[in-house]
Amino acid sequence: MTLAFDPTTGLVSPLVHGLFQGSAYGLLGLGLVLLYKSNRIFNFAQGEFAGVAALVAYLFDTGSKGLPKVPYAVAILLGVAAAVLVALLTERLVVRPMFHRPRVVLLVGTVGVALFLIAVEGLVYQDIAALRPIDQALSIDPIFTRLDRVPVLWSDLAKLIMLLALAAAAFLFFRLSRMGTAILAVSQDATAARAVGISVERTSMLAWGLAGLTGGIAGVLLAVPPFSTTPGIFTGTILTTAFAAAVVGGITSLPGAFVGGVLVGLVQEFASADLPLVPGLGSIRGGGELAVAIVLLGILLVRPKGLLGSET
Amino acid sequence: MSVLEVSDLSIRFGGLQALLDVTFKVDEYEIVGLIGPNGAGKTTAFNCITGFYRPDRGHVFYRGQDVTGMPPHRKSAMGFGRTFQNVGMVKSSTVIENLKTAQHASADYGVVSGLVGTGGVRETERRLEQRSDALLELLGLTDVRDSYVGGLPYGTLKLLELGCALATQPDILLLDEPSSGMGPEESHDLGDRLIELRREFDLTMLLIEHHVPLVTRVCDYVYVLNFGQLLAEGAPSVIQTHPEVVAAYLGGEAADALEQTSAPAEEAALAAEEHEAAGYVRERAPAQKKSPVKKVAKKTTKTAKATAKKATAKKAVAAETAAEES
Amino acid sequence: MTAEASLAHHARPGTPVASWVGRVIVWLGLGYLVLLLPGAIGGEASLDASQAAIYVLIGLSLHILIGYTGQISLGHQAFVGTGSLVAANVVSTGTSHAAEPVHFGLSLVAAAAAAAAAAVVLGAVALRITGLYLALVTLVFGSVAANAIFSISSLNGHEAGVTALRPASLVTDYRFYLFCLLLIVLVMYVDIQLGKSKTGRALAALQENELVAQAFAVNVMKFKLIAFALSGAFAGLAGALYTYRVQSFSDKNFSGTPGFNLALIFVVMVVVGGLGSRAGVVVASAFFGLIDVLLDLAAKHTFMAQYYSDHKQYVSGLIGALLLLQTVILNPGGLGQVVDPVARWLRGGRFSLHGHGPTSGSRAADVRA
Repeated sequence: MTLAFDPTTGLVSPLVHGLFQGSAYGLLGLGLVLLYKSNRIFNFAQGEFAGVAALVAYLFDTGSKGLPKVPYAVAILLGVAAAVLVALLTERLVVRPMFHRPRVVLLVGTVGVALFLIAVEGLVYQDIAALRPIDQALSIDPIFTRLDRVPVLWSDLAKLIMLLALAAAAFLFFRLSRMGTAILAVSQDATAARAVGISVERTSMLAWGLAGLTGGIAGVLLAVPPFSTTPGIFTGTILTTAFAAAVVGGITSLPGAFVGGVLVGLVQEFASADLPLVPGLGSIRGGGELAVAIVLLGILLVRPKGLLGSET
Repeated sequence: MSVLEVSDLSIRFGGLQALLDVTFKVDEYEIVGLIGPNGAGKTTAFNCITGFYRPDRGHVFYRGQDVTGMPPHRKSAMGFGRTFQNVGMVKSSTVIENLKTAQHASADYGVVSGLVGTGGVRETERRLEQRSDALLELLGLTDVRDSYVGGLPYGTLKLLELGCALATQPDILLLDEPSSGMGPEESHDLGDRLIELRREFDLTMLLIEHHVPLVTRVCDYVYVLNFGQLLAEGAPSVIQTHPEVVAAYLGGEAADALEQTSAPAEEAALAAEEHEAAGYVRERAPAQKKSPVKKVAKKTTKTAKATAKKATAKKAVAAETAAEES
Repeated sequence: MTAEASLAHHARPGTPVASWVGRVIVWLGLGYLVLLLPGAIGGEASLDASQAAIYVLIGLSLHILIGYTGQISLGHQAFVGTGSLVAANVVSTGTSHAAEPVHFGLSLVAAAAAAAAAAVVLGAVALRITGLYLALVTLVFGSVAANAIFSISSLNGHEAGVTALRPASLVTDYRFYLFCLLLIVLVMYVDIQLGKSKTGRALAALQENELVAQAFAVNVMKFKLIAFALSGAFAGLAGALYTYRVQSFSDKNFSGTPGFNLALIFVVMVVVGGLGSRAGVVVASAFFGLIDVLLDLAAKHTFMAQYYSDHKQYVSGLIGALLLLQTVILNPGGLGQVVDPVARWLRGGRFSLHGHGPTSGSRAADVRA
């Protein structure tokens, strides 16, 4: 039986881990919020946008599969660019032809995209694509600092900072820029938006491009050891929880993606002990998951718009 | 005892008082009209009666029984048949399927025996089908029996929806703008149809309607809603010329339109005769012809709604009746 | 043969005798393929075929939710897993004794009942939460059930799996396969009766418009729950067979990434089969149950054999993804658009690709949820 609560480090360890795990959910959740906000879509392929970025960055960084070996920074950029490209293709080839279909059918469409990307990733490279974390690339000490003997890694810190920066940037984009306002207008009423001269096609492309961008950034930040990045791992292990986090935070709220992500990360970490059951029944794994499910259900029943959301 | 009685019905949506203390009743074998301008709260009242909304205050009685909080499917089963403003049918099913679906409450076998497919189930299904076919024949729609509802023209749909409502074996039929989207010709036919159906099925009806000539022709009694409150009530001929109703309901210019649509007085008389021919000789129909003013006065005092507005209304009604009698 | 060609062929006024001879030949061919071929091939063929049969059951089960009520379920592996777990624990033979027929029967009933109960719990949630949110809840529900509940160590044989040997009469794989077919016949019978009875009509009505359904006296809550219960029961039955196919239960099949993949495959096969088309769902489910076997066969003698065996799951994944995408984007009626006319013809109707369904396929695949 493992205990999340380690008496030697007190609450610090689960706090730190929960925070950083939560920022992973937040990073993926950000893209989910972006697309829900703009298109009213649950994008099931968001996890594989990250997966594609991680794989492409890894292949270029190591020069595998006959690709040229390029500097770390370039590899990262290429990875993110690949995710954006994939997102744009998804918009053009899958979402746009189905735009007037019920939202749940669109969800099934994005499930198809996710399955397709997983298969292609696997056919290209099915081993673990362990991307070098930023500290290795810069040859510095991986540990930024220690809190009560719990190490805080540079690579973890990068996730949190990037999540904050992206959430803030996206928030400002929707608040201040014309394009951001246009995207929101389309999501409210596409016909009316068209009537005042907003191109629905362009805003949709922009929204998906941004989702690809955040997904790609999430991918290159998350695909570092000890997380073993294999095809489909983002969809299989992070996406569901990221969805839950986004809904808990408020699926229409960008700061909500951050808050929901961190909250869910903490809940999961604090509850992740193996639970002893009634004597004779043995123990039960996955208390963390159970706790997240309960939080999600509670939010959906009591406050469906989420903690910071403004509408359902 | 009235078939349907609504007392002090009130409901509020956020800042909008959609209905305030609305009281009215529908007696046995009556066709009662509920009219009013857009946004007056007609459909809201309708939804409170059928159970789709739950009123904040007030009661709905069905044959003396308080059915205010009862969910819509139970009301439907107990005898409330209804139609929708925008045609309520299962568009992805065929016409015959729809008619059978509408008889859900009469399919008295259990879910499990339905899944097993016992002899009793087959028997019941046959009965439902026969009834559906009979209804189709009555409405003259036998040739669309196996068509999908989604592809049918609007007029046919409206009629079919009426058929579905009848298939629920209603005691009281609630019709939400049955003539919407119809031309004058069609809505005239609809009027005939409603009167005929009442006779055929011994029905009581509550009618929400915009189309004034239809109301004048078929209704025995009319209530007028405005801004969620009852503005006036009375026989159609009275309501028609009620100055306040005309003002509220149609606005200044439309008064002419009203005049025009109600012009054929002999038609109204004809309709009244039809009522009688149909065996409709209960208290209110004759009253409609003889002295609506008494009726209105009685009702008004009874419901304690004799506000200043009402007083003027009454005066106007009296004047009108006097004119008629002379 | 293209659709047009076959249409032209059958549009000619052929003699009724000739067309019945054709039907009989096709029926016999199908009968041979389904009933006898797996036994004739021997080896693993019957096990493979029973996998296809189990997938067909799961497809029919999920089709009740997605196709009839428009509720999507991304956690159907949980119901299958529940059935699998319960069956194994009820019969719990150990490794030496075949199951008593009574216990075996009991385990099937218990599996169906337990999965139905689990599905009703989810259904109760679905009364409050709809649409995309419900899809998310089913996703979370599935993974929580699989990862948490199936991990209860006393139920999963303390991680080692629970052995559940078949009864003596089903000890050969071919017989077991025939038993699976028997259950398919049973489930399909119930499914067909469902469509013919008031329950099917009530579900069709509430899928399209709950207000209209209520106006027709349909108790929406009750019939939604019935749909969930029925779907769960069928999934539980399939889960029990899943256990008996390999004669043990392991929670690893339903939790984590394998479980997640299962959930997605189930959705894929129903959507590809075509919502509203029972025959389409059956064919598509059987195909996805057999896809690995078929690909093995196809790759065996080609130069791709090595590459294929290295990338097995991704090849089948790619095919599934492409089929799903082409279905939802281009061909919402799914396989049913092709399979239904054939099925109609086989039952003695005229062969026609048109004229059935409202603007064929427009309603299908439009999950409202």
